[in-house]
Amino acid sequence: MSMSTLKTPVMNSIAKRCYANKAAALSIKGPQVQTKKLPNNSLVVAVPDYPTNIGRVSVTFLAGSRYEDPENAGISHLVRSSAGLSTESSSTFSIIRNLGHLGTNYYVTSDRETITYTIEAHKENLVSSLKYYIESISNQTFKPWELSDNLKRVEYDLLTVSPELRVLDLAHKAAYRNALGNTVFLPKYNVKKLGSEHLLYYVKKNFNNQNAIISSVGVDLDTLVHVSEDLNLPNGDASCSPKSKYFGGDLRKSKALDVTYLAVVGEGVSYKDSQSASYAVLQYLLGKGSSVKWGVGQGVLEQNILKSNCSDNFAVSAVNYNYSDSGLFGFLLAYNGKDVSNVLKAAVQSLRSPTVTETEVCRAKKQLIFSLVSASESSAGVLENITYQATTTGQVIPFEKLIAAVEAVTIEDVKKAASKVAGSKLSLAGYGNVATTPYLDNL
Amino acid sequence: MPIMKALASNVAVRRWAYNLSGFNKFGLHHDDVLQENDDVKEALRRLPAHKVDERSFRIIRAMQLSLQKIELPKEQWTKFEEDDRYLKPYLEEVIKEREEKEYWEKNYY
Repeated sequence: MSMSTLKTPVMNSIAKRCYANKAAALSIKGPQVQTKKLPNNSLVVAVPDYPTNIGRVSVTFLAGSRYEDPENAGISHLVRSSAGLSTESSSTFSIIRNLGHLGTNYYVTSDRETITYTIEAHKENLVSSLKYYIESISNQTFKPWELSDNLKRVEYDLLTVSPELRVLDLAHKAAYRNALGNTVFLPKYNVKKLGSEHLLYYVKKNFNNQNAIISSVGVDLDTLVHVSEDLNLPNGDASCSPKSKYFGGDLRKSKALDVTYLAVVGEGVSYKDSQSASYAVLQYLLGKGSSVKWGVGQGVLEQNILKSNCSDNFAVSAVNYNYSDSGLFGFLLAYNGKDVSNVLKAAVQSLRSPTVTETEVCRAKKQLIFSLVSASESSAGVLENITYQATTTGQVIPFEKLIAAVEAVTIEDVKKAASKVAGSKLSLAGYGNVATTPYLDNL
Repeated sequence: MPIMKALASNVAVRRWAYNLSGFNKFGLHHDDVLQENDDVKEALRRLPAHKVDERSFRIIRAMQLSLQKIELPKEQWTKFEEDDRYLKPYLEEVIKEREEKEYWEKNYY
C-alpha cells in the first residue's frame, strides 16, 4: 500500500481506479470458499480471507431431530442444552471461566438436520480457546447430577419457545409425520426420562467423522484440519434417517392465547433442487413481512388479506424450508380477531394462485438479493450460510453464483413453482386460539 | 519417617488398625462414617440412588445396634478386604472441583 511509486500523481490515480474497481467487484463477488474432504471423511469448509479480526469455527454434526427415534424424541434438544458440561478432563467451571477469560463466545444451535457447535474469538485468542471447545465437543460425559441440575434450565427453555415456532413445528409434524416431522423441542414426557445413558448413546452413534462438517470464517484450512485431528472422532457410519416423504395433514393445539397462529404449507423443494432459487423468489413475492418500519409489507399475501376487509391485527410471512431431501413452502399467519376463517381463506387463496407479475417478481428478486448480499457482509452470516450449504448438499456454492442463480429466475419459473405448491396437498397447523379455524377440507 | 511410611502401607498393619477402629462391628463401611462436611454432602448428592439406600440402611442398623448396646455377630462384621470405598471417586472429584474454584478465586480476583 505504502509503495513510493503510488505517491506520483499518475500512478496514484491509476491505483485509485484499480481499488475502486476492486471494491465494485467485491460487492458482487463474495468471499473465496475452500472446501476439502479430509481422509477421515470429515468435510472441511473455510473462508480464510475474510476481512475480519474475529475467527469463527463451527463443528456441525448431522444429528438433528430427524435422526431421533420415537423413544428418545427431543434428545437433540437435550444434547444442545447440555453443551459445556463437564468433560473427561475439564469441569464446567473451568470451561466457562477459561473461555470467558479469553473473551470467547461459545454457543450451540440445533435444527431438524444438525447440531452446530460454534466458537467466536479474537484471532489471537482462538488457538487457546480451541482446546476447551474441542474438549467439550468430543469428550462429553453427561454426568447425571449435572444433567439433573440442568433440568431447570431446560424447562425454562421450553417455556420460552414462542408460539410461532410451536406452530411451525406442528406443521412439520403434519406434513412429514416422521423423520423431518420429529419435533425439535424436547417433549414434556421426556424431560425427566432421558438421562446420561441415552445422551451418551446418541452422541456416540452420531458424533463421528462421517457426520462431521467443520467450517470457519477468518481461519485457514490447515487450522481446521488440526481441529479435526484433535477432535479425534470415531469412524462410524453415516447417520441414516428414513427418507422424508411428504404426506400432508391437519394438526392443531388449543392454548389459552388471544392470538391464533396458523401455518399452512405445501410440498417445497430440497436445497439441491435446481428450482430452489425460484421457490426463494416466490417466498419474497408472497412477502416476508415488512422491510420498512411500520409498513404492512408489499407481499401478495399481505395485500390480499388487506383486501379481504379484516378488521383486526394480523401478521403474515411466507415460509420456505429447504432440507437435504425435501422442503416445505407456505405461510405463517397470526391473527388476533374473533373469526380467522376469512383471513385464512384469503391467504390460502394467494398461496394457491398468487398474482405473479413482472414487477412483483422483480421486487421479490431485489429483496432476496439484498438479503443474500447482507448475509455475505457479516462473517457470522457467511459462516451460517456455508455451514448450511455444506450440511444440506455436501458442497458450497459461492455467493456470486447464488446471486446469479436468483437473477436468472424468470417469471415462468416462479409461476411453475407456485403451481407446484398449489398442486400438492396442503398441511395446516394451528396453535393458540384455534376454535374458529376451518379444517383443510373447508378451504 | 520411612518406618512410619512402611508401617502405614503394610496391609497387615492397616488391617489391625481397621479392626481396632471398631465401626466394622456395627456393619458399617469406612465411607459411612465420614465427617459430613460440604464436600461429602455434595459427593453423596452425586452418588447413585441405590448406593445411598444401602448406606442409609447400614447407618440405621448401626444406630439400632448402638442403642441396644450390642454388636453384629462376628461373621457379619465388615471385613477389611470387603470394605469398598464407594464414595472415594465422587469425593475426589468434588474436592478437585472445589480446589480449582479456590485457585481461580485466589489468582484472578
